[in-house]
Amino acid sequence: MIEALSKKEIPEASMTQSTDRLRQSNRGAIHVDKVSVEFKRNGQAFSALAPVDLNVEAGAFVSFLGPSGCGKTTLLNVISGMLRPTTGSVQIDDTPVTRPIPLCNVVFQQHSLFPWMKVIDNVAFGPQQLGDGDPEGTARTFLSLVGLDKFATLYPAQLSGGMQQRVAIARALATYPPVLLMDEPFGALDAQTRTIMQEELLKIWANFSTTVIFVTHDIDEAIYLSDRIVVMRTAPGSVKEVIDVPIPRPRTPKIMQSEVFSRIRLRVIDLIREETLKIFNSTER
Amino acid sequence: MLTVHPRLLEPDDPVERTPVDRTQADRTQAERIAAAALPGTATDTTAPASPPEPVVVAAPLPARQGLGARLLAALPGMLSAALSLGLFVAFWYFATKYKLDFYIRFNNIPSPGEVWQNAVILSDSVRFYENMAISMRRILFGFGIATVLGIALGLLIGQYRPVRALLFPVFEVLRPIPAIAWVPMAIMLWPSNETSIVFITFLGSFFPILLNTIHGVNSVDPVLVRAARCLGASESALLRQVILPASLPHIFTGLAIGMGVAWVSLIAAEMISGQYGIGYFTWEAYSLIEYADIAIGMIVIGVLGLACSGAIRLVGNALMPWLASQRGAEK
Ligand SMILES: Nc1ncnc2c1ncn2[C@@H]1O[C@H](COP(=O)(O)OP(=O)(O)OP(=O)(O)O)[C@@H](O)[C@H]1O
Ligand SMILES: [Mg+2]
Repeated sequence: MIEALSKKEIPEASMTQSTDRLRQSNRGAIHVDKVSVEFKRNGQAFSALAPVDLNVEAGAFVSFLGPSGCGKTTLLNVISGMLRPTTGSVQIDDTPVTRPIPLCNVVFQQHSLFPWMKVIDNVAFGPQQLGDGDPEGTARTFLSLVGLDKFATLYPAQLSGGMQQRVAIARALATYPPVLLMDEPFGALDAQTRTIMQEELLKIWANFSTTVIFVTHDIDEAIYLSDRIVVMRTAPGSVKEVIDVPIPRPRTPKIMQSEVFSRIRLRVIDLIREETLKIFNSTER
Repeated sequence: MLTVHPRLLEPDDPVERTPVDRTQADRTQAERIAAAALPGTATDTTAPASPPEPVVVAAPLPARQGLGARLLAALPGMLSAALSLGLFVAFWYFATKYKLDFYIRFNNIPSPGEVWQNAVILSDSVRFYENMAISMRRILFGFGIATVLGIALGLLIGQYRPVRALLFPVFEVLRPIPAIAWVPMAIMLWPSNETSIVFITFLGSFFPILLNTIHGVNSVDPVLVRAARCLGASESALLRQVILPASLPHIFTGLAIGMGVAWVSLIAAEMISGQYGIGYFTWEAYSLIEYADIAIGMIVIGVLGLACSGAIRLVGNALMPWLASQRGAEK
């Protein structure tokens, strides 16, 4: 078990030459099996997720796209074990997820750092909970991974939004989770910072064979980052279509001008438009 | 609403990580990864340009000014404060000198001069200092116990639904009863006068502390709780390392209010049932027709109360250093 959890050795070469999209990784495969979620709304049952079936292979980078309210966050909550599904089940590798277990950490949109802890203590929090012998040292390593080792002793409020999100990423990675869930992690950032953060994320991810589930409203961002894009149907939420992104890695912003990129983009826009119109028409009536 | 979850990592949990087995291998690898991902390293050639050197957004501290400049800046405030106090004392002086009598009667009110004379005499009296010390001790015990119990119960009631269901109704019924109303009951309940006065002081401060702690727990950002649980926090770690610090600002609001009410309750209790204490001293001065001593008692009570509130603010600032940087960031 320990063996499976410790990081896979990554040959140096894979950093620059891992052009195969679905990289081989031995952990972090997600199996979502007929998951549905119902909420009570004014005493009435309200179906937020229709049965969702989804398999994510270990080490993949998958984005969820869909109109607001289609259940992306709800699905993430089920995967992380924060929310018990009404029916169905989730497995990460061979472990059924029934409560929050440190198999997947979440990076939220913003303000998720502990404001009373210095940056270093925020990152050390996870390792400390899991009995890491040297949480501070681990935290330092991960802070330098996101280029913020010089800011270790500041409080989160003293950092810019982009830096706070980098700390949040470092904190989420510091327990070596097989799965990283990101819920609109760059949604609150300005366009320039966002672009830089995307490149940074790809660099970090290239070295961590972590499965990433990335929720966003930004179609370009989703295509640029992902191996696959899951477009969600709304009311109730379910998987509408899964689109492959066959663009080799490493990727640079230049790929946004490529023909494949625009083709995928048009397809995604069409799909989301369909869903958004559905909500629009149903509220019009 | 997030409710209580079982402990995250059972001993037999398959995902439990053993640090001994893990850290060494992981550490070296993580370090290599970190080095590789850092801008400007050799392995990094194909990666896009690294982000510019990040900039600290909020300057943590304003530039330090010289002492003289700071005194000068504070001068207008100090002058207007002196004027305000001077006017008050002047009114007091003239009202007692001419024995104003317009519904409010200044006939028996001691003048500032008399008060000063008595204060000089009292400053040599051991009894007087004893009274002060006794009141302070009662505050220390009453307020101290209220702090410990109020915060502990507040955290539990705020965080755990069953505890709330069990305890909160009782507190809701008892809360509207002012501490002073407890005096006769307290005298019967407790073996000595001293313990009943401490009890009254405790009661006065307990409810503000309890309610503000509960409020603090309820207003903890659920995102922080989620983040902590995902990172593997056990139930007790969550309470100690997340819920408690996140509620501290509200808790300190409760402590400040509680300290005020503690003094109100203490003085009233000392006046009614008391032996010794600064409230007792003040009331006794009235019985003994030592009117100047009444004013001295009042002034001392005010100063002690102020000092206690100040101490709470200081402790609060020391325990919550992050608030200063937050204020700086939000401007
Ligand atoms: N705790 C809850 N109780 C009741 N309804 C909820 C709850 N959480 C979410 N919902 C509802 O479930 C639906 C899906 O919500 P969810 O937050 O998953 O959407 P989302 O896709 O993440 O939206 P966005 O893009 O705006 O973040 C919404 O209609 C929302 O109102
Ligand atoms: Mg959402």
